[in-house]
Amino acid sequence: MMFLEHRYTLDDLIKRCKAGERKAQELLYHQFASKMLGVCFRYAADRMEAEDMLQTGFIKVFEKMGDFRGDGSFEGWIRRIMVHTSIEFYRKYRKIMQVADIEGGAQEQVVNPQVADNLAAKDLMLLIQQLPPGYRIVFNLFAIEGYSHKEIAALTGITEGASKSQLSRARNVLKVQVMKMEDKKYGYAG
Amino acid sequence: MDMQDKNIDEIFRVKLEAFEMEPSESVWPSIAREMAPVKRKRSLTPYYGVAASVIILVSAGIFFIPHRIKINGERHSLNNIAKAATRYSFKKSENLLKDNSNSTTPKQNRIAVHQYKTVNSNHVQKISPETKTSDSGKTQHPIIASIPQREQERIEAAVPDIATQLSVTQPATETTRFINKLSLAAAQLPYADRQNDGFAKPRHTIRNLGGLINAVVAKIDKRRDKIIEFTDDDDETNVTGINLGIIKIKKEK
Repeated sequence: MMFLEHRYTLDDLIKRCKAGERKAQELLYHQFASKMLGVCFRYAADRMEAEDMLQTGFIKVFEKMGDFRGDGSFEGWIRRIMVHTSIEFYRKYRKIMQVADIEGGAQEQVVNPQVADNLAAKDLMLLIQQLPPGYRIVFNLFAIEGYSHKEIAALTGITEGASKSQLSRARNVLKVQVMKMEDKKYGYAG
Repeated sequence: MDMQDKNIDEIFRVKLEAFEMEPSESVWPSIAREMAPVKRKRSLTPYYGVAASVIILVSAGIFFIPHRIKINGERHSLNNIAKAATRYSFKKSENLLKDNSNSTTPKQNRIAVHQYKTVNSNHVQKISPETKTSDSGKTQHPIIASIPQREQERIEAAVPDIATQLSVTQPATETTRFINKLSLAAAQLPYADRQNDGFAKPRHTIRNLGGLINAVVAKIDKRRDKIIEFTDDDDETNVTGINLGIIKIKKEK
């Protein structure tokens, strides 16, 4: 069990948070804030938006703390709340996300994984943030969180076809961008 | 294609899955501030419960627990009160007649018998022979009612003795009102006010809390059907009528 302070375990902290103890909530927040801001940042357009998502997400975490039964990992539970909160921020883009012209003649891009390994995480984060909101949400949910198209459709309110379409477009854009970064880094056009 | 897609997914997943960023210092205070009202709201909830419980208990007490009103520290039964009121009214009447007989001349042969009749016909019969003998014998002063100033009505006496010209002139002003008050007092008043030794005004009987509320409501609500009416039985207090303007409920007696 992870030790937060020399005398508190995560279970103790969760118990105290359920009782509404403010100090315990603050400790829990500081324990997970950085990781969860990393999650929110992938869905947000910028840092300010990501912090808004984080704030709303943590309020939900504390309000729903009683629902956590300890069946799975607590971090996974908080993470799901953060993802759902972030998606709610983008409800307004739902119409845009419905556009589904898959197989639109996208060019095949070849990305060398070994070269991509050398790319910094924050550069990749920038690439994701530059995607249109619809692409960004579907790519995040599918590629990073591991959701299926069915789950994405249920979560976002778009059809499975639209989800597939958004993912395909997002991948094509990212491939191009990654290759450009590689070229810039190593000074050759591939 | 699949391979390539998986590659690009993998690149991003590996790099960004565990990505961390330190949030600004202002985020936690904002969270704490937003959660504060929720806590305050919760803390008030038990007080609403307590307030509601008190109101329910008090209401139940008022409506379902029978009450009796004590007068001058002791309970008065209705019969005793009525007897006391009757005794009191006769005493007053006799005194009045005696006073009048002393102050009037024998020529005024008019007796206030009628008033006695309104109070108690038995009592009138008792008095009549007495006035008759005194009138025929002429040795004693007859019992004569005084009509000091004005005569408005002439009423035949209850005793049908024409020879003695027994007749009654009723003063419509003071005496009639007085006797009427006596009659009402005997019939309606629940108690005689012994301390003041005066006449209580006729009013509604208050036997329990329902009667008391009826009396208070009657003072405020002048309509025929009051906003709320209760039975004033000795046994229990029940609502007999409600008048909320649009909604009228009335139990027929």
